[in-house]
Amino acid sequence: MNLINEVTIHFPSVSINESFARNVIATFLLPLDPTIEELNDIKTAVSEAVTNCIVHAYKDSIGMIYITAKIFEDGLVNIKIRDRGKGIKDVNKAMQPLYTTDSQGERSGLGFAVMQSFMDSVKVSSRINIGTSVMLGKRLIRRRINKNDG
Amino acid sequence: MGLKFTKEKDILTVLISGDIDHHNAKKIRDLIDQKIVSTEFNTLRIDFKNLSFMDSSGIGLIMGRYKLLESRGANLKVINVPGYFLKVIRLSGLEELGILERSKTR
Repeated sequence: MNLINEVTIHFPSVSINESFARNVIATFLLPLDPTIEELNDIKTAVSEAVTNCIVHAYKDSIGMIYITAKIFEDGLVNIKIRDRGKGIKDVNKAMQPLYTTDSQGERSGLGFAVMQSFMDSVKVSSRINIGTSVMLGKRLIRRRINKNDG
Repeated sequence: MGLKFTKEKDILTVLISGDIDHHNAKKIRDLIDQKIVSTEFNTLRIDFKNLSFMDSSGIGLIMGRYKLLESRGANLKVINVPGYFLKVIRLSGLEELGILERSKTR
């Protein structure tokens, strides 16, 4: 499976960057000619992952958020969202729908549920006080892209 | 992101334009709640006609307003919900509250 294109961005965990992050990733994927629904699914999943970094990983601080997105020849898109924040004690519990540690802020507890239902795969690895990585994968319906486009 | 309020008889409508995410949900919430406590009305309609993006922050926003209005004896309707935002909404079980009206055009 050949890598066609790749981008890495990093930015501080301030909430105004949520829209920047999802829109950069959407723009990066545009050459794949994704459907509106595919693009919307990915934007939403990225937005949830970045929001988790801001609200949870860097709860009382500002830290860097790193995103790497890769496009493979067969239309597979991998997006990794990584932080160096406080980590998740119990990943399985955090991924349960409606579970939230932030009930005051009107968070719905649906972040991971959205990622899981909007992407084909979601993998989370986390270590306390080291950080968390979320790997999102989705295969896009191939409509136009071929190697000669690049 | 922009909000526009209109009132007709007992119905207060807020048209939300742009994105609803964690960044601007709090501002939207504060502006709507300010209006809720300073206006007399029976039903609040949140109009998603000009919504360009919504993540799960929108669910928290709707649920929070639903609870606030319920405690004040008023109703909530969410109108012109674009098809692709129903996906987020379905995950939350919000549909079962019977407050949603789908967009006919998208």
